Amino acid sequence: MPRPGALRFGAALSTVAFVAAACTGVPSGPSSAADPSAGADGGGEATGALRFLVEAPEDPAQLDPLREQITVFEGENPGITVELEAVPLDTLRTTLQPQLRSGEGPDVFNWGSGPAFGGAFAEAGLLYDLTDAYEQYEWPIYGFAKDQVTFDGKIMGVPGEMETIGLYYNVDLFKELGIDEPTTLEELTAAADTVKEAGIIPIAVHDAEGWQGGHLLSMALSSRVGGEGMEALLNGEASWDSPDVVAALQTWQDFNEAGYLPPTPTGVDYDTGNSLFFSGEAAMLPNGSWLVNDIPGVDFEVGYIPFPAPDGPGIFTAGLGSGPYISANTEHPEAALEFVNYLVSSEYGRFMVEELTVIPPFPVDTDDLEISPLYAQVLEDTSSFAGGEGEFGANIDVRSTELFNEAMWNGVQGILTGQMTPEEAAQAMEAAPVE
Amino acid sequence: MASTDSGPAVTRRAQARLGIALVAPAAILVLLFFILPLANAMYFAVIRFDGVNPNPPFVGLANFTQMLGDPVVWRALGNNAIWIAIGTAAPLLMGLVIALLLWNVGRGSLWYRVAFFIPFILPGVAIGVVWGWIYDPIRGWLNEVLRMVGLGEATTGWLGNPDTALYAVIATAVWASVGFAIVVFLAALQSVDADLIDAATIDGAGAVQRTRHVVLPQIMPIFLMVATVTLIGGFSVFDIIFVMTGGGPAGATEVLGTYAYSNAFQFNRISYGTALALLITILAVPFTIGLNRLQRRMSLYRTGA
Amino acid sequence: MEGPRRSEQPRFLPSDLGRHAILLVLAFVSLFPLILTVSTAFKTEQDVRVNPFGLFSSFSMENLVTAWTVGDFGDYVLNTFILSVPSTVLVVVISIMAGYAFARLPFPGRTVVFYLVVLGLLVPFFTYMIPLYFQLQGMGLLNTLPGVILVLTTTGLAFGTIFMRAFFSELPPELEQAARIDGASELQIFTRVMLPLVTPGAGALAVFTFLQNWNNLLVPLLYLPGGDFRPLTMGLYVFLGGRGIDIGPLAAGTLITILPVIVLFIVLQRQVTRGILAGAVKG
Repeated sequence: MPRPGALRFGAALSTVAFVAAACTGVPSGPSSAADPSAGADGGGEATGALRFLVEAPEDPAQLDPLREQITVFEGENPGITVELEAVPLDTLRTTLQPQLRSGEGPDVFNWGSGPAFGGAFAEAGLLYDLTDAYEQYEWPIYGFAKDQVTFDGKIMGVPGEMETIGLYYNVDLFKELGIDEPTTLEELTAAADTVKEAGIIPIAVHDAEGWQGGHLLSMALSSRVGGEGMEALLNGEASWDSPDVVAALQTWQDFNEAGYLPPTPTGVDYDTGNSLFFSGEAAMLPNGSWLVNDIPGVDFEVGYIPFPAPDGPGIFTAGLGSGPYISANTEHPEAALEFVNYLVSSEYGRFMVEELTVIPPFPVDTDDLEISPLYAQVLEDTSSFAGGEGEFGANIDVRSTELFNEAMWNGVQGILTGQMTPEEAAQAMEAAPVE
Repeated sequence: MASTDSGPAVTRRAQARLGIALVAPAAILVLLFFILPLANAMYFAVIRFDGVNPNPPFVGLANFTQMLGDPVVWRALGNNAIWIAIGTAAPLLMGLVIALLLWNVGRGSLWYRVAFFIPFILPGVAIGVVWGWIYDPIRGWLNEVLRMVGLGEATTGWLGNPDTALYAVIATAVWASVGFAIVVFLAALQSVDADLIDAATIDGAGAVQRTRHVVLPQIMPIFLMVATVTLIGGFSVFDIIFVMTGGGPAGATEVLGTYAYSNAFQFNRISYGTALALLITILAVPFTIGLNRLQRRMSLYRTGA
Repeated sequence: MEGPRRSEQPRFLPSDLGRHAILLVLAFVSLFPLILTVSTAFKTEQDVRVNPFGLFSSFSMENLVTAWTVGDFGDYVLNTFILSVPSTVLVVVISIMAGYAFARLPFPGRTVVFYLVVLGLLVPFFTYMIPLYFQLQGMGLLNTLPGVILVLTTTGLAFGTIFMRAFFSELPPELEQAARIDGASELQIFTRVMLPLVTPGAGALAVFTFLQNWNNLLVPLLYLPGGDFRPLTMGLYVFLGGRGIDIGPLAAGTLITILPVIVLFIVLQRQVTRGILAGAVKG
């Protein structure tokens, strides 16, 4: 099933309520007729409990530490209780919007940044304006991340965790085969050849779910055109059927035809692709920084590099996951603000790094944390370019609409299965409506 | 319509009274919790709703004409047709054959029945994951078995290969639903008059003939009911495809159901999505009516609605 | 004239051995994915990640433990029963009633009503699920247990009705006539004569409906936004978080989830077997 990277959800059903309400005469405000049933406390109007809805995390075992953190928060803020609920991605896609609109939904919830997610909700009036809160609490969110949750000049949420996309590679295997870390596209190709001759799959590309196509394109394209080039494309200043885009797509087609990828990569799903790398059957794995969590279990040294450019080492691409938003219909705005304040505190940031193994969208002091060296390196790289030094590319799917993403994902799958040429895929992307 | 209607008007009135009383709960529930919201939903199909504008314009049938020009819709329809053809015939026939085989096994058949029914019980997620492994291009069981028996050239990407993906999903769906047919047919076979079968055997009829002329007519309403439900299911099929391929690769397994869902819940095109869902219904109606009439005509006793 | 008689062992196909051979092969194909699931459920987590395809390559209970604890199965099991049992009972009862009426009791408008009820089969649920959401809110049924049970019941009625109607259609009208001659009222004909004859069908319907409700996540999740009565599938789906799937616990959780349905199936199917050997049913 399509579970897009960067923790995405589908676009909102937003103002369905208005229209449905018009038809059925149902009031769409929080003071609706429904009342919470007996049993476990629901709604929490009377008791002051905040409902915090998150998407089911990568590792379900992270839910317990999360609950512990919440308990810490409750301890520091007597009078506020928080109920946590974790719901899988696709189900959230269909259930969140009507619940928010009806007033029965969560008070605080994690949702994606960017126009297709936060933007859609903002347009539908489902979000609580946080512009004042940012000023009042002085939340130290990175600039580019803050931009992704700013709509119509108003800051409507907190960005999600930062994620980068790049190429993992088996350091031990490379040493064995006498390959150096690739710093140009040519070197990558040569490395892949060497690996292939050794009877190992060079690059474990997995594209069964489809959303990986966005990452494959993002990493190849970002390195090729640089950060500014990506911004131009995303802003509509450059067109998607330009030669650079086609070349980036072509790279993957070439790799596929050269046999660097597993047979029928569109039949290889996310977990299987990863397992190829972990078991040593593949030498490289295009994936994201979130995978760092799984690496320590592996018995060889792992490196993480940006996808190379034709003429140099390339740049990492950056995207954002899901961050907390406050519902416009919440009955406890003050408590919700306090809670969100906690979620961007350095204390919680360290928790994010250590337990959730994600990169917070704000600077965090990580010197005395127990994390793997690879993770520390990823953190360092990310915070330096997020803080303004160095260039970074863009995970396209976080910055664009679902219709565009569909064209992109279909395009890459089409290329890998021979149903489309890179030109056709690029054209489809250019033709996709931007709203 | 019912040719075995009882004579006296008193009986007919009594029947009508009881009939209405018995149907009332179902009718009321369906009206309240299905027809009503459905009518509301249909409103979306005749407007152009972009998800934001609280006063969306009425566009009549524009959503439907848009469908005619949408190449994805035509491809999806083709996939639906394939699905309906194979996905109806296969479980029906296989279900019947296996049910007949099990019919004589008597008490011991319970464990067989459990074995055949378990695929139907498994949650869709589990089916998707496990069959994903079976179909995996590199180490999956299917390709391994093919290699072992020397059919190595037949190995392919299955779910990742646009030419085979739809059939692979259909195969999984058939695997998952044969158990349903078996259980239903076994229940139906309970009422079959065994005397007639014995008589036919004595008369020298072969197994196939006995099935066609003795057994099948007696279970015809149920057989056609299973056919109807399965066939209609082929129009609105969505869950298993969504879990296994998401409609991919690049739309190779897209059907009306997945396309409607994507439009409504992913692309924010609620009007178009609803219109597509309604298309599913519209297409299925003639088949439903046709099969229902057939069931009425072919059932032995002709008593149905 | 006698009604249909249940036979002891209709001699249908000659070779017993041949039959069992075929059945065993088919049963194996049927069960193979379950075997894979069991193998995965009992592996160590590491093994699942690195070697997902290996059959029974390791043994550990950790996935089961994870599934039960992280998936909060203990909490959810009771909820799922509370959600599934009433709606199943309602569907079976109402479907039997409506099925009989549609099959054997002519009344004005019967065909139209039948098609309206069966329409539910032709319409994908997601088409009307959001309007239903707001409608329930207006009716005061949103976020309530009765509301969810009513929705679960209604979604099962289309299939249940057409299903039971088919079983009732099978029965010969001579049974009815005879009972009428004996002085039975229409109601008595229904309850005393016809109803007992469709027990196999009713049993099958009970299993199918229970199964559908048991595996249903969307309806409770959507219509109980307050978070009450979260079903087992909720715990199962926790393992679908993020991009990948936590396959070990998912497999283990699947095994736990299907157990009650298998038990129900065996119990109800045993009744059916007993029925076969119990002998003739009189007209």
